[in-house]
Amino acid sequence: MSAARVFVETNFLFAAFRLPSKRDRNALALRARFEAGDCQPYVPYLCFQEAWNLIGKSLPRNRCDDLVDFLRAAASAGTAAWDYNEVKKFLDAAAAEVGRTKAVYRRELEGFAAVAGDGVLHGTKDVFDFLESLDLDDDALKYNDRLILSSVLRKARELKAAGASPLYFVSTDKSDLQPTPHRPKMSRYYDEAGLAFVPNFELPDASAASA
Amino acid sequence: MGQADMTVKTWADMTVYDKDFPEPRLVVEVTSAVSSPPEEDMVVKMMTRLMWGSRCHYGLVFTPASTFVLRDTFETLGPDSIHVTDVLPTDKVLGRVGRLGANGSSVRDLELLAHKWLVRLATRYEAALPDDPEVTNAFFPGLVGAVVDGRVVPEERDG
Repeated sequence: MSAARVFVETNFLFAAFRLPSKRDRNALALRARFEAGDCQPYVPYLCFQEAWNLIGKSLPRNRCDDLVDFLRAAASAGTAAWDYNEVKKFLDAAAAEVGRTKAVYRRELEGFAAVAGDGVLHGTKDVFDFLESLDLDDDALKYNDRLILSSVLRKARELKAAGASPLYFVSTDKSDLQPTPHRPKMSRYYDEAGLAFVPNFELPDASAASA
Repeated sequence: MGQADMTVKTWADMTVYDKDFPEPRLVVEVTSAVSSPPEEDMVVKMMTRLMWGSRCHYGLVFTPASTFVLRDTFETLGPDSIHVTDVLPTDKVLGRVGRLGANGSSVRDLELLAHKWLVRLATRYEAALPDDPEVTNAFFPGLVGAVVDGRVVPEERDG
């Protein structure tokens, strides 16, 4: 069996490249496998743009202001037994993590795009033609999600035709993209592409991915 | 979700995500029973693993009889800081949105009721939580604050 081909989308990039202390451990483990060449990532380019925006918006603006106020008030009132300067150092470090992340997250995402290489999926005419023809069980899916799904399904079909296996689509908080018995049309697309949906950034069989 | 399925299950029945970001704030599982001690139960172990992996600090396991509150207490640097911190009667927790049948309800009925309660908890926690010091102590302010305005996303069941 060859290395797994793993499709990811915006929520993976967000989870793996956001503020370091908040990063999803499963996403980090998967990112490490991508970077080690253990499995090949595929990412619609649109997802990088969404992740840039989301990570930027998610950085705390006033991470420690309330706590610094509390620290000073408690120390001034003499009710605190802790070392003011030590606690202040801790709060300064937490605040500095935000600035550091702001400075590097775009570069880190660009680095991951380089890791993905040809796995960055651009919005070509074929993708938009596929999107036009996409016939799903309901029309509630947002346009960007339809575009992401089209990019993924189209590339998965291509990989399947070339004999690649296994193919996974790893996503969280997007149950709208999950094929279920209640979504027979979507499920058929996944079957035709040889694609398995995986929630929670955990590949179902680690050995299958690395064998 | 039955115990037998836990060997393959790697996600929860329902997740409450942050309103703006794909960040899990609370994972929720509905099951028929939890064995004793709860920390050794398969469902609780699965939930602990999920919480640690996704850096989610709160979890709930509903059974028709009891609701188990899981919380990352940050006592240690590892996943062993996630504990069942409270066990409450499910009727008491969900009482403001509905009642389970007197003769016992199916897991599916409980899941529907729990979903309704979670949506209310995320939008108007005062209307979801009963006026009860035991419940208030378990949920407020940490868990309530984590899910405020959150998106409740149920996992699609097969079949």
